Amino acid sequence: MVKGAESCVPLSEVATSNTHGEDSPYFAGWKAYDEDPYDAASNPAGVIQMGLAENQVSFDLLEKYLDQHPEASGWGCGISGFRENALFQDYHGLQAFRQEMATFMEQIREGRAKFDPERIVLTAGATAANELLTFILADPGDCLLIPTPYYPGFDRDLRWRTGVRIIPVHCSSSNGFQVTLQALEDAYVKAEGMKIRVRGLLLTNPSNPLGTATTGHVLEEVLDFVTQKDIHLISDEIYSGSVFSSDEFVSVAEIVEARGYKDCDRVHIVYSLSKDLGLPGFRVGAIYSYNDRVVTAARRMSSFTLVSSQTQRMLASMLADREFTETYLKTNRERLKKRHDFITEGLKNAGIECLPGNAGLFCWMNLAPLLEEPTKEGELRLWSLIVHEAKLNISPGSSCHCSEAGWFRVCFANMSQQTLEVALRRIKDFTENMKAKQEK
Amino acid sequence: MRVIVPLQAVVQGRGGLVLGSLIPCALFYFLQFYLRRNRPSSSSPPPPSSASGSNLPELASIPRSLSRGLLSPRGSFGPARLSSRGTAVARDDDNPYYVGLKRCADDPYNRSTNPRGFLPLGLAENRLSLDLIQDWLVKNWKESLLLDDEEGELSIQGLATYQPHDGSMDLKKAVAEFMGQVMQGSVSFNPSHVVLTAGATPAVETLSFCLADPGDAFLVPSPYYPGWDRDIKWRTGVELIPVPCRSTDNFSISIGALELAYNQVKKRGMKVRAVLVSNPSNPVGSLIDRETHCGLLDFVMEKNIHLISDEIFAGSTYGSDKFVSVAEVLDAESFDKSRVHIIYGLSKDLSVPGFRVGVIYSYNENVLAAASKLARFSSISAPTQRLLISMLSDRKFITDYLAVNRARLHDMHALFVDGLKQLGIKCASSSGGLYCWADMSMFIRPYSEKGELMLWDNLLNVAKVNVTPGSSCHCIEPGWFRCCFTTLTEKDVPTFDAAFNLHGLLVRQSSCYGAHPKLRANRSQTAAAMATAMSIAYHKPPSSSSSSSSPWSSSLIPAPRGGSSSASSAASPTRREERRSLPTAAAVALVAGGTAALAMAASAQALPVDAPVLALAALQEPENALSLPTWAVHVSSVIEWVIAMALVWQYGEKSGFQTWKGLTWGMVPLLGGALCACTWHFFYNAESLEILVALQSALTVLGNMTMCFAAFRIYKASQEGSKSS
Repeated sequence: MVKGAESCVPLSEVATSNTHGEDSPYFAGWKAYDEDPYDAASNPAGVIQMGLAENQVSFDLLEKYLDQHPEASGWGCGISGFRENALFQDYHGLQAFRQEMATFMEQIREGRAKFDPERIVLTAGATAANELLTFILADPGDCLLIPTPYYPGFDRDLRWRTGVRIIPVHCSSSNGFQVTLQALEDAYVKAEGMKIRVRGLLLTNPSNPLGTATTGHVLEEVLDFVTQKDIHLISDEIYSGSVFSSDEFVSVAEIVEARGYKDCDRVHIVYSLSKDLGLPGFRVGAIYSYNDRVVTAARRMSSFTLVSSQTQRMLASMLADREFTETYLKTNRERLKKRHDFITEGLKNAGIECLPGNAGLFCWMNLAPLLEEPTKEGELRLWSLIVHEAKLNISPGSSCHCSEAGWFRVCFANMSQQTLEVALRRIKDFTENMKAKQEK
Repeated sequence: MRVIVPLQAVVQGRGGLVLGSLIPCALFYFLQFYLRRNRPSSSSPPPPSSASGSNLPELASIPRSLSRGLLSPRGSFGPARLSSRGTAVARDDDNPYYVGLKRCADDPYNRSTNPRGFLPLGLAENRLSLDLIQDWLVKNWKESLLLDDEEGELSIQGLATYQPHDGSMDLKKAVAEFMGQVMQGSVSFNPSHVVLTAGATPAVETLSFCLADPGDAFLVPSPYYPGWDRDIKWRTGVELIPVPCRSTDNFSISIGALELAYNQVKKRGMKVRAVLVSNPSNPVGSLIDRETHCGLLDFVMEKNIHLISDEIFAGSTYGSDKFVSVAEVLDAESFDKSRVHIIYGLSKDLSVPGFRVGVIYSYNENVLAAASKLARFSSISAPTQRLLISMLSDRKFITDYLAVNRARLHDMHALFVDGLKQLGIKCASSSGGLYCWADMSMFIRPYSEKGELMLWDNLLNVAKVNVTPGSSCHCIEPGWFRCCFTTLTEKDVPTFDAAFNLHGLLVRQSSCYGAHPKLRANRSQTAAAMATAMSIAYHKPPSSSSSSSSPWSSSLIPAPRGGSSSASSAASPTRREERRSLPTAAAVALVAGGTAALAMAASAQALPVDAPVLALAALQEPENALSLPTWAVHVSSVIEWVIAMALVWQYGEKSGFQTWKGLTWGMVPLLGGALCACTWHFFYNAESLEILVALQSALTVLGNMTMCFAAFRIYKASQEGSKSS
């Protein structure tokens, strides 16, 4: 019946096209993991998931908090607010929660930037936030510039329903994959050559997959570039609280403030609690825009992606506990740094270099020396070996549109220390095998 | 006859024709322009934020283009351009549905804390059974939310980490079971056909993304839920084509009308991809019966398109008719299931809209695959899922809840509809939903969308009741309003009734002065009292109102809200006195129906009016003033008759066929009719001059007859002429 239906009732292009990109290696690796997941006790030979940027290193802190404040997980102060809460479907979001979000974002930047709760638009996750902004800023056929390597999900999230295209801004390892004016200019010219209207630049800061924060100098250049070209800047700062040392992170909000909010109406920030607070299951994302019309449009459109009032209430009381958030952020940063140092050290022992990183839940590993040929195909062959022989699901650089072959993203925060050690041992064995083979 | 002869000079020669029509037109334009300019306060739009301000000016002054922004790139909008869809969304929304919701949200009614706030009859949310949900949560939230069932320990692992975007399997199972329970076991739902989203809004949007490309169309029997115009059209680029239903058959869906609309859309070069229906119908509240279901299924099969059935109110039925889901019909008959999709959600039937749970239930594997991927843009929060799994799995609670909720809905509906009936307002017959579909067409003047919006505006700003006008729902008959009654408690109903009653009045009263804002804002006791009296005079036989035995009228007298509402407190103390003067009021009303002149006098007498108000009314241009282009049309119709008469007269004179002159005579009544229309509009459609409308119709009929007669005479004459030659 289903087969017959397929040929008979027509569906839309969204439903039938492959723009969701879930056939790419990034997702194929996930499938390999789903079919044979590692478990120290029950399946010690399974695939270890290192392709998922999830932060589990500080779960104990969250659990402790909820244990001590059971009322926070329920309805805040007892049950009194229930009526309003159950019915609450206003797309403005709970005032108290937006206020706490703004404060939390300020706290992450250690007070170097101010956030106005009235400019915060809540969405069900950063995925939806990014898509929403794309809907608002660009028309079908227009494009966004994104420096490479970039998060593989953007190809789906930003393009699928919006009909917007992505023009990569190629960065190279020679300067640690930093964005340069020249690269931006080249991408812009390329888009013009293809007769595509450029509507904005999306910058992930700190970068996913690189695990590095953008420097203040580069940010200034980027802001000048978008102003000169009269395009928007979306700054995806969902890892801002996962920078190992807070002074290494410069938010675009700080630059905007330093410039006295001049031309700020082209700047939009995306944030989420999925990474920094390790709560992706709660689906809380946010758009912070300096442009009133964008705030209005985003707020109205957020009716497609609202956060459950129960969750808003729960998080509002959690974030309002200043003592908890401060300890959490501090401890989380420390633990991430420890993990990061541990894995880079381990990789170094295995003879693998990583891009020096200072943020994020992953590191950017260079396996170019192990490639048979320095091409995308060579990289994917190596990747296939890693997934199926070393049984590690990592993300190949080509899925992030990296212009150089041999780079891989390895996530380290979604597993226990023990599992990480197993993973490192596997990598070490694998590289030694490969090197032995190469020598032969 | 020679009256029109001077005009002959104008039309002599070829240029005369053009000049003859242009010059008077232009003169009239300038006259209107001059008049407008010299009405000081109307040229500057009233501040939109003022609480007593009207919304109609907002409606009238919607910016149609951003040309100003384009002219000055560094203007207030700033240089950063948005996409066209972004711009469209950011633009001020003029839809009364959203305007009303916003006003309500800004100043919500509360019996104790804000009795003067807006009564929220615009939002279909169910507050009748919240206490049941609350009780359950008090007892169970701890266990349901954080404690792991097996180990009895805190576990955040299953909450915090990434979850399936289209909802956890446990919740899908629970929701499928709940849907089965809601449909009273007549059909069972398969959890693997379920995709969960953060509310029904994204559910219907996601489904639209799956079924149609930008520029394709859905056929939607109207009146339909006003939110769809946003939810479906904004981002998908899909067009919604209203397929009008009529009050004569209680707005039921007609396959013939669908067929007609389908062909018209095809002719316009668009692809129809689906028929979208709501069952129970939103806003009417009627149910789709088995026969209509079969008709719809046959129709979509024949056209090879999809059927989307929005059954979000399936559990909120109260009538004697049994709810039939399209799923039930599919189970029983042999239709192609792969083209049928059901939208559901927990917002209405479980009254937890804040939890954001929507359901796409589809029989099409490909749609399910695509929708579950698209659900990543609107997933439900994990703790909320956990909570709902426990709640929905409590079968006993759910069974009790559904039964109690139905009973309360039934009572509230009866109470509310009965209340409206007492005011002379009839509702469409309904069996489900949180609203009723009320016919207030007798209150609107003129009988058009404009009159409907004026009434809506009055209800919102004077009576402070937010209802949804039929035009927002694309209803083709003016005067219907959706009133949601589940946001009220029983104690609020008299309040509503009073507010409503107060207004019923103000509308007719204010229409004498063209719904002047100042006048409407004037809520003086006398005005309210007179208004009440007039409304009774119009809508109730004096005998019934003087006996005042009905609980509805009596509930009005002892100011139900402790005199806290200006509406009821204004009305009640004076009301008894007014009863005595009822016959007078009735007489006044009757006279008003009689002659225009008398009516003018009567209304001047009936209204409390201070001279300044009258003066203002005369000076300022009310909202129902005709626009310049409409004036042009009206005026040129007068001019055209004059020209036609002159030309025909001249032809008769020059050709010697004297019978042609008779045609000019035949046109005189028509010219009179056109003049009547102009005059009526010139006085802003004053109710007191409504005789002119009747006169105009009569003159048109007469004119048609005289023209006929004249034509017949010409025919006769030419026959004779040919005979004699």
